[in-house]
Amino acid sequence: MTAPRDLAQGTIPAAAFGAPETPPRAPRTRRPIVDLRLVAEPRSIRHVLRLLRPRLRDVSAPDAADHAELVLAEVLNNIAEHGYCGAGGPISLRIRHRLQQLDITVADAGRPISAGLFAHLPTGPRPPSRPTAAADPQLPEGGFGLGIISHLSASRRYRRHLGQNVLRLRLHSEGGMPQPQHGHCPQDPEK
Amino acid sequence: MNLHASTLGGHLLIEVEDDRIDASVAIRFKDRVRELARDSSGPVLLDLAQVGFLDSSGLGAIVAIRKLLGNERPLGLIGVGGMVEKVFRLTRMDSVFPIYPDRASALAAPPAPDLAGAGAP
Repeated sequence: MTAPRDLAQGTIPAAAFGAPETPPRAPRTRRPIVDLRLVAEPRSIRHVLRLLRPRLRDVSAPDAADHAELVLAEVLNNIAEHGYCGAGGPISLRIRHRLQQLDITVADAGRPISAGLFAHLPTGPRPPSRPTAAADPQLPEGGFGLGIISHLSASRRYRRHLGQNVLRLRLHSEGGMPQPQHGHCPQDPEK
Repeated sequence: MNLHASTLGGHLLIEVEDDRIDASVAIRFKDRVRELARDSSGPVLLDLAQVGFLDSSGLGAIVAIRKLLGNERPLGLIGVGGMVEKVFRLTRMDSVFPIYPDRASALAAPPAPDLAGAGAP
């Protein structure tokens, strides 16, 4: 156990010298709140998400914690299914909480994904807004995941680095939905 | 993935006794519902009251169940709240499934209109 660096070096708060109070920059927030490795397999993903739930709730508004859990489920299962093609493999997951945001970094050594996939995320398959025939064979059964990630995250950055996929997502930790960056309202009569 | 099936006012009522419908159970969930539906007829009610978490795989399974039941057998949902409701809204699947606040209103609801012939515009 090492003490936070500021403490170890005996830093004196600026306020002690009469300097204006600045919001404390807690060193603690720079440490990841989550830093773990898991196997890209649906059962272990389920297990890890269960464990993370209270941790996310500690630092986020309840609905923001829900959003983070759902985004993580989509990202991790996507890696399991498409990155490792169901064969399993390591995923590292790191989450930092700072400035009312959750910074999520997910790395895996699976197949490279197209960077464009995240640069131009669709808003997901959507059924027609008119009433749909109940068992319409064209109803999508998949492809919801990317739309969910896109809707619930404020930003996404992907890069391929040293044989790894590295995905960085930013989510608000104070609740509310991020404003969509594109798309249109379903009620918009012009569209 | 435990499911509890019973008959209620001519409906097949299926209660999901799991707090998550996610990628690790989605296929089994779909297969189990398929088996239960095969041994019965009439409308189906899926009670999700115990489900607190639904991901895209779980949603895909519910859509697949909707499709395998066919147009003759309505599928209604009850006990949809919190995060589960949000997922339905986010993907606009709330416009595809009749969602009822409770069993009584699901049973009292008039049969869904048959839109099979509505077709594409």
